[in-house]
Amino acid sequence: MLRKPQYIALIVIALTGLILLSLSEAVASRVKLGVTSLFLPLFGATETTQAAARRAGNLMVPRSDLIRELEQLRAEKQKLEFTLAQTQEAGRENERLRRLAGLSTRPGWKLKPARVIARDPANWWRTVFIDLGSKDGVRVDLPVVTPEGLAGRVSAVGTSRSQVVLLGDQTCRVAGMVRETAENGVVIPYPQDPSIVTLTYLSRGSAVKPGQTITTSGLELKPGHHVLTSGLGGVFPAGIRIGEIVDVRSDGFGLYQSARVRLAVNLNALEHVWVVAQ
Amino acid sequence: MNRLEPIFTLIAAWLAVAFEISFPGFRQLLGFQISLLPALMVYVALSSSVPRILQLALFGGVAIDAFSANPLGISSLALAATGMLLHHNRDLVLRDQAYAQVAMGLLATALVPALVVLALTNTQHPVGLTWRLVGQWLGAALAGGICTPFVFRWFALLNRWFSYQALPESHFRDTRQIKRTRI
Repeated sequence: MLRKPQYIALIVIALTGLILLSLSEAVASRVKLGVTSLFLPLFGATETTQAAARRAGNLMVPRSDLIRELEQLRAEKQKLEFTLAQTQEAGRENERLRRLAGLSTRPGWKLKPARVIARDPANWWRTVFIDLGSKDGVRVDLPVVTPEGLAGRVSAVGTSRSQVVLLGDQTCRVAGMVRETAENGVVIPYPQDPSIVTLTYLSRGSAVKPGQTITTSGLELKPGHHVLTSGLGGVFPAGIRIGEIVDVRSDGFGLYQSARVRLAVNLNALEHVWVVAQ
Repeated sequence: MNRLEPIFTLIAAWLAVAFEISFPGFRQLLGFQISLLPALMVYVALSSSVPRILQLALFGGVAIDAFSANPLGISSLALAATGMLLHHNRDLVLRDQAYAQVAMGLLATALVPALVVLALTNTQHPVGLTWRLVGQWLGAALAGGICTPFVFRWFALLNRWFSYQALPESHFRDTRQIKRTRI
């Protein structure tokens, strides 16, 4: 049998738990971000340690390696300058054509670099914390990317920290598109493997016969096809890489197709990300 | 040590949470993160009082939930329930034996996430049960069990450093000696 203090303790913890659980989402989010402030020394220590390790590493690199790398980077820079000039010309041409066609101009991206400072301790969620907050202009639902592709979206914002929900989490759904066939679908989690997501609600891809009304691209989805954001959901801009198709299967009693997509980004090894402010 | 114990418990909980959120090594190597809070709860439940259990459950649980997509407070309830269960049956556990510590650590590390996942089934975003999750759960429980004796050792070390050591009993008493003199 429980003794009296134990009963009181149980009542206290149950009441506290219930009060915390009944907080509204906005208040709970604010409390959560407040509690994370207790771990500020840890974030500072991690940054200092990493900087010290980098400095120590820099001291140990031989001068000849640095010179060789510098030459490679110079060559790469020149190549990128040519590519940039071509891209800028193509952009200007695109702008002129859009104006002639009466289409609105597409706003450019503003990328804000951020560092991953904490990860979700629970094995069943996929979120991280970054060191940018509302004071840096970060808002809820802004896309988060890496050079390899889409990583996720901002789900909660504090003054100097934000929570990012990653691709593959059940609360992060993305409107996706297969680049080769222009098929649209929705990216949902694939629970068995964190490096894979499912692109679902794709049309069946049946071959188009002459005289038939074309409602789909009619092209077959194949492994290796690239999946990008379609921009249809209104959260993610179009054209961000998500991954490559691994395999395709018929789903929903044959009504639509689903494709397993291997993510372009290794979400377990995220260290630096960019927040896309449109 | 008694006065310092709540502080040490909080520091240990802070370190455990800091390890979980900032060390991705196990996640990259094994595919799951190891939780040290249940192991800490085993120590507190078997060797301390109910207020210490509540303190650890509240602080550790809220800190874990703050960095997680879990609803705030859900881990506190799971930790408190596990701690109270162990505390209630502490007289039946040979807490100084390493195998008992491993067994209790395994039980606690398995029970806490199971309770959280069970509680999450009643929320807007229930966790889908998959074989992968079951594998992670078993792996994390095993790792938690292995870590528990180290938590006991660490606190034993702190006890040695910060407690008054008992003086060794000696049968020799200078004042009680019979003085044999010439009558």
